[in-house]
Amino acid sequence: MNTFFMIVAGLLALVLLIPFYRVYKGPTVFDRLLGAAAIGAKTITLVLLFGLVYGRLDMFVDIALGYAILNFVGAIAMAKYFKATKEA
Amino acid sequence: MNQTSGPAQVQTGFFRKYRGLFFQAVLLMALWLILSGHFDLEHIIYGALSVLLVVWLNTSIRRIPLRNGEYLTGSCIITHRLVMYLFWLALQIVKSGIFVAYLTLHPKMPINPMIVRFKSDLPNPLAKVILGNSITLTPGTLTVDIKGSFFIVHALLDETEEELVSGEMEARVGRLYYDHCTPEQMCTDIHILNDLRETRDHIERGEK
Amino acid sequence: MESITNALAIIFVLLGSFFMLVGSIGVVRFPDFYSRAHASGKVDTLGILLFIIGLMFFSGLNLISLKLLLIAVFVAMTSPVAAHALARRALVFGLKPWKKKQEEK
Repeated sequence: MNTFFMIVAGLLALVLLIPFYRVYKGPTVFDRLLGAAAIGAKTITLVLLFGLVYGRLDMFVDIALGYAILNFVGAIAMAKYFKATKEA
Repeated sequence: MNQTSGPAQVQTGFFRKYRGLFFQAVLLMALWLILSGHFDLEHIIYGALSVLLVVWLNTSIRRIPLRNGEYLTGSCIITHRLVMYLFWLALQIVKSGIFVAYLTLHPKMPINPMIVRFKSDLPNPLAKVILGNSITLTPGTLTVDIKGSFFIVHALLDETEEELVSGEMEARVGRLYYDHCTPEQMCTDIHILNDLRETRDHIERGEK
Repeated sequence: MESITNALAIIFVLLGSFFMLVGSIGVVRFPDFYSRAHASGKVDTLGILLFIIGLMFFSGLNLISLKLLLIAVFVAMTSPVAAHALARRALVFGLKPWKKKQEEK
């Protein structure tokens, strides 16, 4: 079971690179933000997998919850910020 | 129960009046228990005190207007319909995920995006939030903006747009608050916005 | 019993990973920002929910499962809101939606 989760974690780390293309290349700033949000959402699951592999899921669940909240607040804060500047 | 439309009658019993606060306290207490993980008396007393403080602070939310001047009050939500609605919404999440995944993996990517605007009369801001979130979670539609009673929605396909403006889901959300309502009542004034300038005018000007 | 829950956990984790992969591909492959928001807001959400359900099967009925459920509910509620906030800001900013080319007659 542990090796299975290790393999899945490795694959997910590779999957994380795909939206990174959008962050790097994205024609507008919103595409970049969307790519960043997609990466953050997948990082939640990656954190949970690390918890399983290290055998400390009880601790990593709290970290994942905090990460989910930060990801959401970050996206909302960015959206508010671009309202204030009007240029990107 | 014979009325065809209009908000559900507001019961004036003690439980009905403070039902929102009661559910809020129960949910917060459950959150405290899950996050703390201790079930002894001391922690539960601390939790109960914090829950009371938060509920007391939250009562003032109803007295402060939102940014557009509306208040966060309204008719009572119908609880057993809310539970059924959540199950339906979970099914919709699965369906929409599979649908958009199919579109993504389709080699030709047969999408025809469009922006559509419609009007849906809901009793309070919370109902609008529920409808907006549900539109985003159902297949192929994404809420872009809500102005007054107008919803501006980005749809991926013609079929998803037709399904949206058939008013089925709007009526579902409406039935959370009204005794009875039909799809035709809940989705009126449908207009496909072809031009970007037109759309932005709609957003900046708000209701006509 | 142990093997059944483990098998369910593996199935759900693999399904979730598959949907997250498809969501990432969608973020890259769709032609404009709004349809990319569809991919990130729906497919990714479904992937994360399935993944967390798989982990819940693995960890069994205890406090960790409840916390995982909390994360799942939180993600299901907030990811459409984040997609909506970005899409609304993009529209006010003036990002053109992609249109299918009409056939000339």
